[in-house]
Amino acid sequence: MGAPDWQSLDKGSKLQGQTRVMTAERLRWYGDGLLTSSAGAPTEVGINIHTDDAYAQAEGLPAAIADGMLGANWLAEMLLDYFGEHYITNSRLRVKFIKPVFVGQHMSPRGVVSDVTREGDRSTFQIEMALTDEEGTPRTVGEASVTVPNPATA
Amino acid sequence: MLDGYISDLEKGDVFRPIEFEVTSLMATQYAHGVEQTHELFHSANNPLSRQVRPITAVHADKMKLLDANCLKEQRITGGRGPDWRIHFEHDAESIEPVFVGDTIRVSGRIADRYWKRGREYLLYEIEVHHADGRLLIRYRDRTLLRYRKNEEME
Repeated sequence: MGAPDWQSLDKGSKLQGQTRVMTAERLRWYGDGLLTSSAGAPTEVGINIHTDDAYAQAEGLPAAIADGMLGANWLAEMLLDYFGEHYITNSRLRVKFIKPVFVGQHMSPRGVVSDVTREGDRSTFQIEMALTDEEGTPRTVGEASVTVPNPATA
Repeated sequence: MLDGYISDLEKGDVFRPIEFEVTSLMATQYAHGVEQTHELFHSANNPLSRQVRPITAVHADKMKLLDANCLKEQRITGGRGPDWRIHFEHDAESIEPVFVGDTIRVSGRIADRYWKRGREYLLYEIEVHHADGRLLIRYRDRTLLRYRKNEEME
């Protein structure tokens, strides 16, 4: 099987991303990346609901939970894998974090093309998406649209 | 109400905009945090010929905007409020890429603050413009003010 490519997609096509295990290290990496990007200088994440079980429990959670944006980015990565720079230039990604994700869970980005609209020299793909756990339960759900040039004009 | 905690924000509050130059560090460290290795985010050696910041890093723009407008709770530098919030929805529309080296202006407002099933939500509407006026990203973000339910509001 070759690399994913939007030119092979049509209505009903399934998309699949990389399955990853949620780890404490990944939670810290995201916290560090978010804060460094926000501050514009190297910044390390401190104790919060994403990095510390006791802190999370004090907030009413059973344990530390993943920042929802970590999973959102894994869904975005799937779009990037299939659509390349077109995801960057003209897209929309809307996700809801409907269930918490805990350390140790195996998370898999999945999608299905729900519609394709072809107008002039461009096509827009609508994609229903979910980040599911090892039991197939969606924990983040959403939809995306990506507009690409039609092959003849690409 | 601006200048307090995030939990003091009210429907209709309009944030003071922020303006800054997007650096390579901001792009690469956010990408590193989510294990995104595509060359788009790490150098100009990509189909767009310029280094790009991940679209999802608009989440960092929200943090910067909050730090500039909620002075009692500057989370980037380790500050915190009465409760830790839970991100519920991310909705980002990419109209044009945000490139490293661009000077961008981030503006936004609180579009709504409401209760649903015992939990209180903030709805942010944020826009990222290039300094020359072009709209780059339109972003909506829904956040729970605290995880614990208020049984009286169910």
